[in-house]
Order: sequence, then structure tokens, then C-alpha cells
Amino acid sequence: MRAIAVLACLLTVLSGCGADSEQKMLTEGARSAREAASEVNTVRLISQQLLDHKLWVPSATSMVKDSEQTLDKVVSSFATRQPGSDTVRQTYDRYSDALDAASDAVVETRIALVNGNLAKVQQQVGELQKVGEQLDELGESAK
Amino acid sequence: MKKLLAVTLGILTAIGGFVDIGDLVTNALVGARFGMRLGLVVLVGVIGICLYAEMCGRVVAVAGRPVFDLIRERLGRRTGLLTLIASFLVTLLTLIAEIGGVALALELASGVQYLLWVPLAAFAVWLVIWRVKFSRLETVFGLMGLLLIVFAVALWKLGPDWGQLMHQATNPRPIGHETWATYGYYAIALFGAAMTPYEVFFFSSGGVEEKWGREDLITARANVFVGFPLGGLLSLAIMGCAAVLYLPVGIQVDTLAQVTLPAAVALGKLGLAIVLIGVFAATFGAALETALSCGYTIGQYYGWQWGKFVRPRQASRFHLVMIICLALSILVLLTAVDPVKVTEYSVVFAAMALPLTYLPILIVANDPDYMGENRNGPVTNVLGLVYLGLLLVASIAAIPLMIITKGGQ
Repeated sequence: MRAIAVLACLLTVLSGCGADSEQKMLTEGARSAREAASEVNTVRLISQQLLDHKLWVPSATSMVKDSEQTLDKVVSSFATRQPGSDTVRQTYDRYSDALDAASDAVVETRIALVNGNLAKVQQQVGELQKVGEQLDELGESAK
Repeated sequence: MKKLLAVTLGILTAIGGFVDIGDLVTNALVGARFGMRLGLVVLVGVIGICLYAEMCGRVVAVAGRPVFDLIRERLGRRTGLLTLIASFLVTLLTLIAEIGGVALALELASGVQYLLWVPLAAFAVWLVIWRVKFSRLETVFGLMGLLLIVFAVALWKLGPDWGQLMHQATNPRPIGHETWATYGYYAIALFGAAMTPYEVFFFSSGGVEEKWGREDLITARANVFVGFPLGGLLSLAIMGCAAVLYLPVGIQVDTLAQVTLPAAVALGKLGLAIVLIGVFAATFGAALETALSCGYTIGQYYGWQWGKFVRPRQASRFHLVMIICLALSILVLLTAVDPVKVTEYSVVFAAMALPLTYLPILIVANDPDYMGENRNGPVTNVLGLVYLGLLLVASIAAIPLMIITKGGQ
């Protein structure tokens, strides 16, 4: 009887830990998503201003590089998280994939800018919009 | 007519000189995260800096000596040393942030990495201090800093819902994912940015450099009571631009580029060019002021010959302190530490050092031996004490809030 009680307590504690680490991952993921969304939206705004002839290419490139660096920090910081269980792993993957997509979109934009490929920049504005909306959604999934 | 021109020039210089890297970054950052909900803190900070800067100006005009000199004499070496350490370290941190700001502005204009600009910026600061007359450097960079008025024009051009901005300003509370802790942390940062210690040391030492007497009290008061509040309006315009452009799309400000972007969005390349010159002038001017303030505080504490009113050879230790501080700034920035982060921390550390800076000023401004009939009146003293209470609260709360919010995250 005592063994069952101890086992029940252990299971309760462990499931509590599981729920706790799931929540922790969700909170961290949402925070990273919000930070990434901020950078993606910044790059979209810069690209749009460049296309509207309101920015010089060197200034725009420098601004995008700044955002890329900040985004890199966000992505690598989230990548150091250690998912403990399958459920947490799923959450981790969901946020990780979105952050990688953001990083790719920003890198593509920077490459297009440096190469002076304004058609590609125009294309990237749409991509950044899509990625930004996805990140916004993920960012709102937890406090 | 000549007097009026001098007063006007002083006011314009004070407006342009009020905004530095701390104001630029903190106001934009806060506007993007809270809208205008912390606008009242700028107002409180501006009243505070006016109150204490007026005391400093009065002390210089009446006693003919800078405040730090009197602090050591009036409060003794030990208390003076405590004030010196706190104020000097915060001023040095601010100098590092300003040099970083100059380099970042140059990077935005040229596309060349800011780290390459750091040694050049620091060298240029030293060269200007060494070669240019005090009154000229203060006026030139103050007036160039006036270009930051472009933020007010940009805000108007962005076509904000003014009622919404006013609603935000009159509803001071956190929103969305923000907590009261982050709200409090940034309130302290804004307060620290508005009342940075170097401002009063520079103002009082500058008064001595310009040989203020009792007849200059009007000029000093006009600079303080007209120039500083108008400078505060510039800060609110920066906050407003970020509130209009960034808050609705969830953009957080963590680079200087994001601070300048609203001018480009509203006014195009011309707006960006003006804002970049304005940011360069504001940060370069503040770098001159902070470098000089480092020399002033140490020189005045140890009783060395100081100031630009004598040849560098006659104030060699004063100049050496500035050179060492500039070299330290280069070394710190070349570690690739983020200048914007340095700025964010410098304004919070400034808030921590505020009581140690401002209490001695209140004491000296009340001393009849130095001030005679020009000592503080009862209203000034009540306001001074109220502000001292606020400074104390901000100073005590700064570190716990920094830890709780992980630096405002």
C-alpha cells in the first residue's frame, strides 16, 4: 500500500515537472518568437522603405545586418534549450522551425540587398510578412 | 540686442544639447514597448533636471566655483570621494555609450562597420577638446543637435491619432506582455536618462569656463527653464515616433538604426540624412561633455588645475584623465560589446548614482556661507527634497528591478 502511495506521489511530481517544463518551453518559445517577429518586421519595414526610395542601399544593408545579428542571438539562445520529453520536444521543434524560417528570410533579404537585386527584395517583403505573422501568432501562444 | 542673442543662442544650444544617446535609445525603446504610457516620467525628469541645474548655475554664478569643488570642501574628502566614485563611473560608462553612438551613426551613414569608427571617433573627440574653444564646441554641437527636431516633424508627418497618444500618456500602466516590473524598470531608465549626473557637472563647470557672474543668472536660468523643457519635448517626439510606428507591429527597439528609421519612413532620404547628422551631433557633443566631465570631477576633487580656460600644458593632469578615459572607451567598445546595451545599462546605473550626485548640490545651494542671499528659497527646498525622495526610490529599486526583469526583458 505504502509503495503504491509513494509511486503515486512520484508520478504526480514527475507529471508536474513535465507540465512545468512544457510550460517553461512554451513561455521561452513565445518570448523568442516575439523577439524574432520584432526583427522580421523591422527588416520588412526597411525593405519596403528601400523599395519606396526612402533609404540608401548602404544604410538599409547596415540596418538589416543589425537585425540579422540580433535575430541570430535570439535563435541561438533558443537552440540551447534542452527538451526533456517528447511533448516538450514537439513544442521546441515548432518554435525552432519558425525561428529558422525567420532567420532564412532575413538572410535571403540581406543577400538580395547586397547584390542589389531589388526584385528579390520585393519578393522577400511578402515572405517576411508571412513569417512575421506566423511568429506573431506563436508569440501570443503564451505569456 | 547682443544679450538677447546670447540668451537665444544659449537656449538653442541647451535644446540641442539635452538629447544624448541615453535619451535617444531609451525614449525610442520605451515608445515601442509602452507607447506614450511612460511619457509622464520624461516630464518628471525634465522638472528634476531643471530644478537641480538651476541650483548648479546659481552656485557657479554666485560662488564662482563649480559644484564638485564645493562638495569636497563642504562635505569633506570622504563623502566627496563617494560622490566622485559614483558620478565618475557613471559618467565614464556614459562616455563609452556616446562614443559607441557616434560610431553607430557613422556606420549608418557609410555602411562601414562601427568598430572601425570607434578609434577615429574617440580620437576626434580628443582633438576637438584639445583644439577647439569651449564656447565654440558647446555652441556648434548644440546647434547641430537641434536637427533632431526632425523627430517632431516626422511624428507630425506620420499622422498619428493624437487622441490615442494622449490617452496613452494619461493611462500610465503596462500593456500586453509587459509587467509592472518591466514598466518600473524602464521608468527608472527614463528618469536616469533625463537626470544623468554628467549634465549638472558639465553645466556647472561650463559656467566657470565661461566665467559666469551674478549678471549671467538670467542667461543660466533661460537655458535651464526654456532650453531643457524644449529638449524634453524632443525626447517625447522620439518616444512618439516609436509609439506610432513600432508599437502596433510589435517591433522592439534594440539598435540605433531602429531609432532613426521613423525619420526615413516619414520624410525619406532627406529625413534620414538630417536625423543621422543630428544623432552624430548629439552623441559627439555628449561625448565631448562626458569626456570633459570625467576630467572636471577628478580635477576638481583633487584640486588640480582644470578646464579649457587655461592652456593644456597648465592643466596637464586634467587632460591626461580625459585621454585615459577615451582610451578606456576604445578598449571597452573594441571588445564588441553592444553600444546600445551599454547605453541601456548606463542610464539605469545613472539612476542608482543620482542621490549621491544631487544631495550634495542641495546642501551646497543651501549654504549661506557660499550663497548668501541667493541660497535656496523654501519652495525650491521642498521641491528639492521631494525629488531627492524620488531619486532615492529610483536608486534603491534599480538593482532589484534589473535582476527581476533580467535587464528589462
